[in-house]
Amino acid sequence: MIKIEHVNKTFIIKKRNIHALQDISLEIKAGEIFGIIGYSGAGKSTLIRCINLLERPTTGSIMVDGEELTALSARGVRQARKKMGMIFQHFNLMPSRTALGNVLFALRKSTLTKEEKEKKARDLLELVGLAHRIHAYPSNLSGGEKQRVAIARALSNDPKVLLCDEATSALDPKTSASILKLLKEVSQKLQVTIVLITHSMDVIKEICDRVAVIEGGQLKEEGKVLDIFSHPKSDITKQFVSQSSGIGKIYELIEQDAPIVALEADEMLLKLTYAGGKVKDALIYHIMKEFDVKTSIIFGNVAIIQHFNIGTLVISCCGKQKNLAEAIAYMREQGVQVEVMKSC
Amino acid sequence: MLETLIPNWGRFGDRLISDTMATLQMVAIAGSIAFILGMTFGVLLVVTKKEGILEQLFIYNLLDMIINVIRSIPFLILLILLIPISRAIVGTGLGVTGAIIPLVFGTTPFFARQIESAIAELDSGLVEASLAMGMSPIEIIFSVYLRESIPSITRVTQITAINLVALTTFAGAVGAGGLGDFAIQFGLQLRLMDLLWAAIIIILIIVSVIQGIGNVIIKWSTK
Repeated sequence: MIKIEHVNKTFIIKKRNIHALQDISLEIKAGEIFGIIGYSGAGKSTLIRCINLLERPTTGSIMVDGEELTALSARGVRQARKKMGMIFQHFNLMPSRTALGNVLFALRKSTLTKEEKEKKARDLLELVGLAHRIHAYPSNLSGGEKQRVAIARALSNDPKVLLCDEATSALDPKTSASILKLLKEVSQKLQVTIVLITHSMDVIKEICDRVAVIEGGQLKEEGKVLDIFSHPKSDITKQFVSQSSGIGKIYELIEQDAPIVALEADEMLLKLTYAGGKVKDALIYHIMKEFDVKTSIIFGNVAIIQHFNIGTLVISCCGKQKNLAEAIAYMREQGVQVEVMKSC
Repeated sequence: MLETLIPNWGRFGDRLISDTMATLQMVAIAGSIAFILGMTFGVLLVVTKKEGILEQLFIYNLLDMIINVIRSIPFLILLILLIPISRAIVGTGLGVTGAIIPLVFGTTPFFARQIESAIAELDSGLVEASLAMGMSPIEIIFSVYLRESIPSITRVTQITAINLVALTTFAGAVGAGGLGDFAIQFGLQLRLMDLLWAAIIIILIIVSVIQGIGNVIIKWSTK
């Protein structure tokens, strides 16, 4: 559906070249929810704006639905943009128009009759769960409601692609979850391909099929969300994953030498990661019994991604060096990734 | 009634009425022209500036310079300077007709700047959203820039219109009459204080009406 090939974007700011995007190539399939994650300044905003040419790539090509966008005239670009909806972090609703007015505004150039437009706008607002608020002005709507109107507006021209620019970053966690749920519903019901950018791994975890990680304008890693979570390769991805599971805290504590992670002799701190439910529950019991390793759990997190669980455990183990080594080898045999976080 | 409040009404009442009419004419005609021109130039400034939706730096810089130059000329001097241009355009440099061109020149640059800053207050996200919807620059100008800034455009129009009322008081210099001229003749030179006060009160009423209409529009358009 979307094919980004060798895209570069260079801004000239105060006579200095800023390479916002460097040789990015990505392919986004029809119907999938594709996430792009990066810290602020990583270039993800620029990248998503390249897809509808709000930013024109310096070099490279953008194909959407078989059409090369960079080759189109200004009018052609406008036509192509109508086939792509976009929602924003700060909603960008027209303050002088009601919820209904905002959706109708996006429909003004459609070929439908006045009645058909009105019906479509009402149907869309119902789809996003705002049937009771259609005559409200944006200033009277909550953040979540505003984003719902924005979604209805973005869907009004039956787009094949929906671009989401930090769509949930300005919302509280509960509202954010409800908007993500709505996006998922929309993608299934209307067969819309969704591209979203975010700085939160939780958003990716919640609804994305695949994810691309970018840093400093470069694509660092790309793949299925489950794979990226269970086997992150690049440093930046590992950072995102550990932040998301909360394990980043433990690393901080180790750095600060906090008492909770202080070790006695013959003790070590291990991080266990396991994916896909293939690990037997009795693992901890087994290493205690078989290898005589005293174990206590310091931290635990289980993330559910697309019906799979990815678990992270931090345990402290105490025992003879030889037994500890055997226990680790045993756990690795069982398909658990074991990392020694700290040892005495 | 009028006789007791304004003892000199009998002698000069007709002058007061005709000068009030002259002021109203100048404000209405010059105001309408300046409104349209100023709005056009203000929008042009917004769309042609760097990163604007129709970026044309040459046009922007040219407009910017012309506006700055005209704005820096004191109005009384502008009034005299423009007599030949008035003659060329409207056939006379004198009277109410002759005052219109200088008043337009005196008001438009100020108004254009005000419009520019009124539109600049708009959230740039609105324009981005409209571009993402595939809207053309013309649609964006009318349906976003102008429509969404109706409250601030009204506010700057109030300010400019009140300024314009003040400028018309200079128009006596080219024989256009008006309340300013009336006040100088009867208040300053003949020391007929009742007539001076009458002129002041009429100007106050004009300004209040402008304020009132503007406030109603602002209230109605702010959602």
